[in-house]
Amino acid sequence: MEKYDEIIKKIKEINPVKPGPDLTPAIMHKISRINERRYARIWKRAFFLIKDIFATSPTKEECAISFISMGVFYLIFGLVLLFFIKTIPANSEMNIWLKLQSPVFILVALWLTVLGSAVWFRGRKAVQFARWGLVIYILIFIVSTVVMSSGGKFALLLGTGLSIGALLTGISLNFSVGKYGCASNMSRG
Amino acid sequence: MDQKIEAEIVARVLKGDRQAYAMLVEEYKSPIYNLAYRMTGNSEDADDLTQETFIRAYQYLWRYDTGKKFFTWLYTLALNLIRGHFKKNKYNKSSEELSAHLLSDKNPSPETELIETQEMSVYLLRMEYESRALLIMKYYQELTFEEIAQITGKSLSAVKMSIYRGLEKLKELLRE
Repeated sequence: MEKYDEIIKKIKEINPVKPGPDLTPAIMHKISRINERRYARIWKRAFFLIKDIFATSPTKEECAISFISMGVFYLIFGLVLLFFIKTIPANSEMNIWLKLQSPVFILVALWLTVLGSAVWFRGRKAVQFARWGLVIYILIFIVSTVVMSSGGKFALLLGTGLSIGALLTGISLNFSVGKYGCASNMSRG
Repeated sequence: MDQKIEAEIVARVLKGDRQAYAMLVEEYKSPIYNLAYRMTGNSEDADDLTQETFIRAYQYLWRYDTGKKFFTWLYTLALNLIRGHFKKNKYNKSSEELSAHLLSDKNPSPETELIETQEMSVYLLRMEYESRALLIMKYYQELTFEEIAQITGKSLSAVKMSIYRGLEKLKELLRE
């Protein structure tokens, strides 16, 4: 390699160049924009996903199943409270409140099943019935919360939580049955 | 920079601490810029390619194996981008074109006047892409054969042979 020593020396003597002082800020700025674009993409996807879900009208069966599913959820909840929770201290405020909640849950479960069945079997004719039925469903929880509020802070807190849950699921089911009603009206028209 | 510190910085960046990446940029911007500059002979292209290299590295940082040196991975990315740049611009230019490019640099660095006087940098630009990259990394940036082998993905003997051929070619050019 000695014969290349002169060439190697000359290569090593080439002066290094300095990058501009703005290089690091420019890179970091571009990186921050990449991140912004990434987050924007995620939000955009989420938005369109939700939009797609709400844009499609449910069929009669889908609508009925959503009611019945919610009913099954409350039924399981009610049965668990009725048969499996026995370790709560007797005569405590919580015990009384929870024991009274189980029939409420079972009642709500049956009511939602009735509404779902009505939509399934009677279709568009049951839409108004189902919508008013949902108002009753929400009212059951609100009344239950008001009654149980005398059972202490815990009962009031949990009752409020359940009422809010009922309100949100009620609005969601109402939206679903409303979309189905609109779609079936349009197809008739 | 110590490999352990590099790995820690990379871990921080991957966890979302974006600003930590600036430390890696500061550490390696100069060698990457010099590589790009000596490969393209143009400060604008060198600037763009350096930025692109660090942005690409940031985007694919999750692929980086922390058991290896960060700068070898960065060099691999840089060389791939430089190769892509030549293909895209279809200018594996002739010696005269590249020399003219170097001399007509619109934004010369403070050292450009000196560079103009250095024939060797012009001769390097007249070489083929692969040989030029290897000679720059080995003698200008003083990387070891092992590091170059890791960067290029070639065997050690292949790297040594290519560098030897590159020197031979350069010697021929100097004789012309």
